[in-house]
Amino acid sequence: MDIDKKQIEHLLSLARIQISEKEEKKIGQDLSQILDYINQLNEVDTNNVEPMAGGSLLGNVSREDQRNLSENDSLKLIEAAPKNDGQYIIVPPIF
Amino acid sequence: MITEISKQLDQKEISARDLVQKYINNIESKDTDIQAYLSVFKEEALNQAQEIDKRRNQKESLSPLAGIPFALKDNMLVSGFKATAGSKILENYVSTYDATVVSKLKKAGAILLGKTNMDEFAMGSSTENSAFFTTKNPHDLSRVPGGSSGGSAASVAAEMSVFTLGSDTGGSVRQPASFCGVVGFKPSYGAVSRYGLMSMASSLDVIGPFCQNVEDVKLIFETISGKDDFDATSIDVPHSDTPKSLKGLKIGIPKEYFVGGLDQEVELAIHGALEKIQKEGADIVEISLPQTKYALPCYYIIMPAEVSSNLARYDGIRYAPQEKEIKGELWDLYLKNRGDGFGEESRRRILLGTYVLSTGYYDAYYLKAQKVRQLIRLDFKKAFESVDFIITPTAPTTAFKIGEKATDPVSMYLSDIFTVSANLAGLPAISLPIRKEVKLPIGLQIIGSYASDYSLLNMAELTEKLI
Repeated sequence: MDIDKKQIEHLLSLARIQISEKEEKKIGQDLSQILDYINQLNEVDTNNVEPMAGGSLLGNVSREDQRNLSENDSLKLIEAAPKNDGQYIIVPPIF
Repeated sequence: MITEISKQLDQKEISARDLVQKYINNIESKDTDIQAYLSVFKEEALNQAQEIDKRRNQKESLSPLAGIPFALKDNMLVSGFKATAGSKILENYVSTYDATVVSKLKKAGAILLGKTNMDEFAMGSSTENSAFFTTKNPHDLSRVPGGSSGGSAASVAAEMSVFTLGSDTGGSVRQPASFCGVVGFKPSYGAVSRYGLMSMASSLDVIGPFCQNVEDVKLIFETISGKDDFDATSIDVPHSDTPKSLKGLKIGIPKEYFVGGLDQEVELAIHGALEKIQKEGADIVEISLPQTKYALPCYYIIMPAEVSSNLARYDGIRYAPQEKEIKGELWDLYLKNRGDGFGEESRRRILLGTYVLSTGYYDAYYLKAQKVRQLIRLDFKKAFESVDFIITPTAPTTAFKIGEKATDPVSMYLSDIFTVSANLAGLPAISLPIRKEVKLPIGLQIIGSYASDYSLLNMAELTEKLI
């Protein structure tokens, strides 16, 4: 199954990844090869089979809606961002 | 091994500080060649060991793990230390909290020696996808240690740590354990909290230990497992002290696992081990797991789909390869940081996941794979109605050469062919080294029914004595 240049560009844009044209070509070939492999699943009859969503058979798991982080923990998370002023994360202009 | 060391510590035959120093010496002499470690915390480890010695001298009652040196795969968080997940995008990331497994091991007094190398974001079967360097197999430096937890496996194999933790999404603990000749255990899905483990494919990820023997695995599993408020998918698995003997156990051998692609050397070793198990009185029966052939293609839809959404958080803002002047607009920053920050395999899986989840393909791929996953789970459920355990090879081959599969993604993916099913079905599985006169280690995989982790470990302990 072939993935064309236009499809790859669309996927790269959805995934917010920019790579060189040469890499684009290579990744297109790789994806086609992998899709050929996974298309084997079409051989399996899955009529009337319930999809297995998630890895666990647990039902809903709920807990009290309580804050577990302190103010200091939140600040530590902000500091983990490479560009920050101690209280806010700095981002480029969005418009 | 841990019980013996612990006894020596208790009887003051050795101090925790000397023990830690011994392992640091091993790292310093061996790791230039093997390259299992991404970081080593020498000073911190020695200080903590001294602290344990002090507590022991004050006659404090300590856990058997107190003073025991260990290492962690670099996708688990330790507050104040770097966690790179083998990726350039997290090169400078410092964790702000402890993973649940880390809190539990710290509480037990185990001493963290360092963080081990891995395929980027745990995606790979050879550790060649690390953004930093390739770890070598301690048995043959021209070969891979397996992956993605290759650094953790190599560290235990080369005695650069008493035990290590890895994560297993499709075989990333068992396959490197097989390649490096150590014991590697993947618990039932949910048995160990994932809090503080960087998510790869959340419905498949499990943390598991690498050790020299099954007794050690049990000790570590008891310490790190259990329901955790911070992981809603976590569960308590019931304790068990059976089986006490292999006699009368029914062991299933799935015929679909002994087909083309399996190395003859591996097949012979597994059959040799099975004969010994049979001599102990176990009943070996052939079984069928009809969906086996579809497990790997099913995995290569579900896993990348979850990867593509989990890795969306690496947006180049909260986490970035390095501090850069911000030029252009937000969009450009995303494109550039994610393009530069992710390695080839990560990009491949993100795009594959994006594809199978995108408009028009969701039903054909993702939903289809979820249904096949259900069938795979039911295959095992049915099999466990008539057998107690299932035995297979862990991997189709022994450790391959560095570079051998690096250019062909599908051939690399095939090295997980015997391990992915247990992840899809959520089952506990262990890889035991077959210790015989073979040049390179071979792993025997034992799979148990869901949540039968303790019985599986008891059975594995009986088996390891024979092989």
